[in-house]
Amino acid sequence: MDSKIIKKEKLLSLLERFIADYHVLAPVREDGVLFYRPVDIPGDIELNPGRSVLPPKGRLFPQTEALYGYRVEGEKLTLNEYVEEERQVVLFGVHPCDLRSFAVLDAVFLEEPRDAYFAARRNNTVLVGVSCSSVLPECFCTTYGISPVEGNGADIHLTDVGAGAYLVEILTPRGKDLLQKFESFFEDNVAGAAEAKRAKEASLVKKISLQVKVDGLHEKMASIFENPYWEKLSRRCLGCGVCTYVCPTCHCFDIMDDGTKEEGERFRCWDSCLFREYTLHTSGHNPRHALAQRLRNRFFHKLSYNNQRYNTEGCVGCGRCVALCPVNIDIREVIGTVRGLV
Amino acid sequence: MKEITEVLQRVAARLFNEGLEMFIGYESGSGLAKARPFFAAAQEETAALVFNPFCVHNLAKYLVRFPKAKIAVVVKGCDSGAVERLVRERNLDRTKITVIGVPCGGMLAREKVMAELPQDAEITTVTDRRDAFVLQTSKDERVLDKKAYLLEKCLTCSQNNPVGVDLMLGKEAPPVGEPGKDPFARLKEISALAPPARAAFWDRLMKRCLRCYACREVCPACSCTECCFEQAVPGWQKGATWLSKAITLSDNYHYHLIRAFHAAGRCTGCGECERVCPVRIPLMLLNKKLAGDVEELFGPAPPDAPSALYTYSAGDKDEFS
Repeated sequence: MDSKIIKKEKLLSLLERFIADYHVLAPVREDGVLFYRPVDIPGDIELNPGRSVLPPKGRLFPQTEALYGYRVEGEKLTLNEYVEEERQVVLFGVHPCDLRSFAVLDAVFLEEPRDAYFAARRNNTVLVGVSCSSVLPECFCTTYGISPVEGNGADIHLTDVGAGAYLVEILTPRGKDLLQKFESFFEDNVAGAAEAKRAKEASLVKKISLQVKVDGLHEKMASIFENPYWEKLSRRCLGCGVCTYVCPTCHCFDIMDDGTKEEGERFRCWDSCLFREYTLHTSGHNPRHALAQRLRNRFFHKLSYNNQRYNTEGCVGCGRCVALCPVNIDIREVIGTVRGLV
Repeated sequence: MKEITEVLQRVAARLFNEGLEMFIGYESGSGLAKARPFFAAAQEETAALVFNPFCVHNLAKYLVRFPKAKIAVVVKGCDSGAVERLVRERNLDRTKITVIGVPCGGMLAREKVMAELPQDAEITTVTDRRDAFVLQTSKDERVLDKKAYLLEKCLTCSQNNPVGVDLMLGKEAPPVGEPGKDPFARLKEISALAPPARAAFWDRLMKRCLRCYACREVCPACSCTECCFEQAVPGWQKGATWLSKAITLSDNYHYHLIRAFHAAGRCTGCGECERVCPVRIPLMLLNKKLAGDVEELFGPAPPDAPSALYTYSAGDKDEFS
């Protein structure tokens, strides 16, 4: 693995070049809230962003995505598929937990039958990771073996190593191409940068307040499917979609049509297992009619189903659902309770 | 706040002796400076009950989930109106409910408190000193001036003592709102903008909406068992709904405006919609705007009358005829 150094002012001019040559999506602050948005001005970008409200998964799996359009003229039916055309998008400023989430989504969308829409977007996206600079009270990535300074999954990964310098790790052939194209912005790695990164890791990990363990948990979850705990937990649940929408690994969607007999579009959009209409059958029957069943579905999906189906953890410990749940349903507590029950 | 918590636990325990089936209150949350809704279903669970300036949630809407139970609920001043409204609109059987009022010294904005406290501190006691809350932590003592640390809605609050309760815990609380602070100040600013600027203000916020429906689910005025936005449109193709599931600016507006209209004259101002919004859309601006419009069109609502949308009078203004 190759590594370089980039100075902060050079990073800003590099981002300017990115903006000129690619579509850049990066964390920006709007009324104090962090979002990944298309960016035109490098100065708008948060270089050490912290936790965005929505994860960057929307780049690969947009909340609303038109799949194809149709048009009927007489006997003739025309279908027009909207798979993203080849283009280069730089997704800048992705933290390690969200980088891991892309692997979780890959397992879902890229296994056969491959999702052409996701695959095209994935292929068009260059990922620039950024190490965390702070730990929020809800962060627990280490539960899933994620380090807040490792860029696994990114093409290139930046770590602020102090004194206005970033350690740049080149992690994929695509990252290497990027480096070669913009070589003049980088400097040779210097002694001490790797140590600074390790020190940063140690200090960040120490700050993760609540340590929970998930090893071996998923195999035992089935035994508590009918436990009264889920009903009890659901009493305070509002049944809103916050936890699922801010989750970097949630991937349920609904497919809808919008149009007339003559022309229209089919699109898909995020769905949430907490919603009353989730899995509602045409007959009016819903196998998960009670909120407790839907809430249980969310936690089984995070803590068990994903492991069983894809052999990957369904949660990355980003802490968004913990931070944003209006009634403090905390997955770390759920894990702790469930461990005691199985 | 130790005394009020103790009284609360005692009262709850007593009610279970008298045949109570469910007590809805607050317990400590999983993070620093956090509380959350708590449901005690038996006397031995009442020891978890707390009351402190982090009990921000309006618990009134949970009552609807237990139509048959003998139930008690804790309300602050800004929550009590919601219970009253739900009863008046025949969503609740008042005879089954014991409403327990807590005079409120204001609720702290967690974000501001968290910025103050060392991350690994623990809050051991909270004392209400009228103009400030004193937080004794495991490390030191912090005096948080209410003017600087209360939730925005508390600074313009004029209803911090609950009304219509069966039991009031503690003495009447002195006003918490800052005298002279206008609750409609921001609304007036926005209303005064020229239409294009006003549209730009709202477009920017509405674009951001995720349609997670947290504002609807938490709202005590959103008491329909089936929301119109979940309903299939009669006579249309199967699955067609009044509102597209697509996230577009116009669908987002559609959702928020219809929701605000349905709550017009019924919103009791608890501000929960705004608190739960993950992308910080200032929804109370819409609610306040409509409350003002309803009052202007139909006059101030007499305290015991049904809300404007629930009644009809031949003398109502009719701008379409």
